[in-house]
Amino acid sequence: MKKIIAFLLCITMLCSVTMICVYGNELIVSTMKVSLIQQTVTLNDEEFPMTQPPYISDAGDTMIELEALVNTLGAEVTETDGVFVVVMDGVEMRYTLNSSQVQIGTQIITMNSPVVVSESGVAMAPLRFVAEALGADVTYNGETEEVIVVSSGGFDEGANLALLFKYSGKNKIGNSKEHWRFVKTDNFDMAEYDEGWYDFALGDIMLSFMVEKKSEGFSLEQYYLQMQQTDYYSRSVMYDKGKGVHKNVPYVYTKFRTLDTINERYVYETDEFFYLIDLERTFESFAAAKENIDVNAFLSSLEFDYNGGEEEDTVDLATIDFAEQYTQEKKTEYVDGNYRWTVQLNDTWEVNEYYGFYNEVSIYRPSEIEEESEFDGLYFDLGVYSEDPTITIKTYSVADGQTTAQWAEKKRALYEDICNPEVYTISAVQNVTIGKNQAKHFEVCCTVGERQSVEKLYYLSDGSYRYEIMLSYDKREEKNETFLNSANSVIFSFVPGTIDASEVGKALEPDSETEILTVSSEFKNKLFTLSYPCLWEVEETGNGLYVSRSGSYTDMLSLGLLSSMVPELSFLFGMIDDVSLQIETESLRYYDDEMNQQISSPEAYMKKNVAQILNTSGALLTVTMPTEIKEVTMLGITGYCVELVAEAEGTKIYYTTYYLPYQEDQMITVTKTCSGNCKNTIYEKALDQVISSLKLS
Amino acid sequence: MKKRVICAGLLLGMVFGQGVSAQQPTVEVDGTVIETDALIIDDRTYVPLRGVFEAAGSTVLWDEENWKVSIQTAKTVSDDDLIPEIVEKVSPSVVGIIGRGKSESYYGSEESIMGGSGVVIKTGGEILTNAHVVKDMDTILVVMNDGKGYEAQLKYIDEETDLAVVKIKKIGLPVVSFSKKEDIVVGKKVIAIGTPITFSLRNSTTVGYISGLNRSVGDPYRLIQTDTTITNGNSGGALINMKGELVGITSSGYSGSNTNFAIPIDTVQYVIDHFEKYGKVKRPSFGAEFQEDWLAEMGLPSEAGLSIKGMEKNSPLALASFKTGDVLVSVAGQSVNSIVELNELMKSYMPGDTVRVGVKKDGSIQYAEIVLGEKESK
Repeated sequence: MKKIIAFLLCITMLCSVTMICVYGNELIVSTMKVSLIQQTVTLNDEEFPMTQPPYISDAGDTMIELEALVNTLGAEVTETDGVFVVVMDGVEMRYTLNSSQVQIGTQIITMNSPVVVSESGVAMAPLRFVAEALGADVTYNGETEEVIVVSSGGFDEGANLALLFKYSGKNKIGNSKEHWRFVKTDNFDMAEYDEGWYDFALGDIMLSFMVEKKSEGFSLEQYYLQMQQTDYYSRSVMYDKGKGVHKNVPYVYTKFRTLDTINERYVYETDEFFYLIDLERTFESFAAAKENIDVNAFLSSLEFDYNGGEEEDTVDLATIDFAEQYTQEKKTEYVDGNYRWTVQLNDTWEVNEYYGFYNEVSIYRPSEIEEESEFDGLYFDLGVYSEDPTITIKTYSVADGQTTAQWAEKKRALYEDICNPEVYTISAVQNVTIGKNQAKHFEVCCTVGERQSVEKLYYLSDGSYRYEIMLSYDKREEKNETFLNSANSVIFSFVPGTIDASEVGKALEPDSETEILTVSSEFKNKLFTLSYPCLWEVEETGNGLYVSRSGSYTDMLSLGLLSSMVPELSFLFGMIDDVSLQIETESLRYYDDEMNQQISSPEAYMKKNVAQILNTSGALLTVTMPTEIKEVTMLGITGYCVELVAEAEGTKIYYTTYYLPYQEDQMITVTKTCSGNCKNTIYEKALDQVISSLKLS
Repeated sequence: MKKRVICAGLLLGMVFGQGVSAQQPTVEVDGTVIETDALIIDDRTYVPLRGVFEAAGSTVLWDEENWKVSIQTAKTVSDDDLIPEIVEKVSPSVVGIIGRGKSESYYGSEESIMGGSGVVIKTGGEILTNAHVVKDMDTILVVMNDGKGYEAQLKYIDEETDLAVVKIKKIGLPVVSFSKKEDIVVGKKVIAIGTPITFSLRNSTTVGYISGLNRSVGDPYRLIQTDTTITNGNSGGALINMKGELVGITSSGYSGSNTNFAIPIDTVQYVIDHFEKYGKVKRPSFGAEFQEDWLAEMGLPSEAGLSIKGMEKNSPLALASFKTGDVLVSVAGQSVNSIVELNELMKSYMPGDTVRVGVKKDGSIQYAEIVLGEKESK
């Protein structure tokens, strides 16, 4: 130490101090040069007045004016009775005259040299200690013989570890034409351009990006409301809304929940553009899912007004083009995009890489069935629709304390819940071995008329992940003797990967689908109120309301029946909602042949209506006669209840209609429709709950 | 109150003051001289109660009403109480370090997550760790005791001693105080605090003893050997003595054994000093490669010196006309018998310094003044 100080004193005598100071939000870069020979100090090459020139203390420290140094580094200093209190970034440092002890926060640290008063009466302190305590870097450049002090140029508030670790990657993804950019993460899967929207997936979070040039006189709020209105009709529950400023860019947001899905929508406004960002993710626990580190990290990494091209780390959208997601290459092995597993393919099975986008990969082979009827493929009630035999592999994070056996049983119970035993047969859970892993397996078979569809499910875990492998196909595929062998060769070649769980976004299991969160609303000029599961949909029709469970259909041939029962649905061309409720008010007034206005009796109206339905019965469709017409009380009104069953091509539809005379000249009809698939399932129960919630306001 | 007791002592001295010695005795408590007005009267030493007892760690209370002095002697704190206290005090200064980077394996280079520990040495954000912890990290993240993470920059690194300094943009950090080199004594109890990230974020603590010193194990410098368990994640963590001071940086161990190593505080201090002054460790060089005696190689005491295996053209030894095969026996009057010994000795020298070396040549020891060169640092 002594040696170098002597060296400094005798030869160098010149310290160059570069400082980057923070004044408010502005970064000011200053260079301070301290020449010991000339006894002058310059700041940004201009003379910087110092009362006392720097010198070397007995302990070998370069001593500098405490207040001048601290001020130059951007900290505040106050002096009372020889105690200098320096405050920076909320940290208080107390230097005391003639003492080597410094209090920093709550700890006391001893310096090599004490703070002393110079001949000219100013406090002198060790440069390195004081500067370093303020976060500055003090280095000595032997070649240029300079001491360089660089301030930290700002401080780090620290971040949630998981977030920081996951998002420490430098890659940024941006679109220079659309002027935005964000940090590309490891679990960022794909980008797709579709009619003005950019769709991405961050693990199991879907996000869509849309940019629009601002129109004159359109405020952020106005734009936001307009975008909300153009959204499809969906009754979700808003649980949060607000506004804020992100990197000087103002934004508004809302957060919605539907059954097991969270939708967050943000609109940002820059001078030129509106940026609309929609985030969607499913959850297991709503409370836990409200805050998501992936979402937070994505949002905090957003940059607007980005023009692109300068930073080498930037990945432009063009380089991860949609087209790249499809591969024409024939593979014998397929590795999940996140390296979580591999399977051996054989010549008939192909991977649709598009589905690798989510935590799900589909492997299919072209169907060998020659279609005779006009049915194209099968509709599986359980969410799988495909003409081709498909192996779907889903990856989930490990659930604490749940064994694979429990998982399989839970899944099986879920199937039992949602499947009508008259239509579906579900096997017991069995043990199988896939590679080195013990797996659980069961089979679900759906029989509709002559058609049979099969789902074979396999559940296994490697400790890091859980995997669900599902083979679904039309039973007729089995006519080809090699079919099952071929499918099994793919399934049983499955090898789990070894990647660390923290590497990939956590997948969520949509177990909670059966949960019913009800939404109450008033409808149709406030005539009715009802509660319904929030994943369901309510449409206001010409005469009333139509309530249905969204996304599930049963195909029905008879347009005649449909149009007579539910005229508004004839556009569905033979498809009918699995469970639905039609609520209508109709006038009992009619004009007879002599053009006299008459009021028909409620009984007459009901009988006419039932007869109309029975008349639609024919070769394709059979409608069974109601065994009785019951008198019921509903909505506080005494009326009639008629139950009918229609059957076409093996598909049964159960209708229950309530005829309720209302006021003097009106009739309220409530029609419950339940397909054979849903009879005696939780869906029918949910429908009954909706009916019982119905009230006249 | 203090004055009152001292006065009382003095008063007693006055009253019975016939045989008062002219010379004032020095009073030491636990090796520390205390300022007292001790007196020797009739071969008896009189000292102020408070001064002595307080110095010995006791509490002295004066009851004005009853004119009573009560002394509460300091109780020995058991390790059971002391260790948690130390751990609580030092833990905030021990941080976790994690990062992603390329690691070499049998299968080639692959991206992986790496981790270790570090010790806060400067309130302004500097953290000391092992060089091998941060060497291959692309992004270094420091996890503080409270679980918060900060991105760090590699500031200094010296692979030879396996030490590195990283810096985060945060001030007012709790620092750990350094022990004295003399405090590293075999048999003393030590605590290793580290952060094996893989298990949890909490600091993990293991207790053991300094079981050896100066063990070389193929390292160029002396290490502390301890039976304190040091896992992979502890690398770069703190080895703390029972005063709560840093005695070493935990470094490596024989996996699954109770033989673990730490870089001693004097080497740490030496490296930090060099980092501050030169940005790296500036090592003097003889421009020669030495061969240890087989005894020294096995870590046993040897008196055979270091034979010169090879020399660079401009080796200061060559300039002093020594040749390959000659044996270096002393440097600056100290005998050298192992490379570790030589490296340790060289810590006090800089390139360009002149030292007197003793070399055994043709059966006799010849002395020469040589100017040390500079070793290229890794």
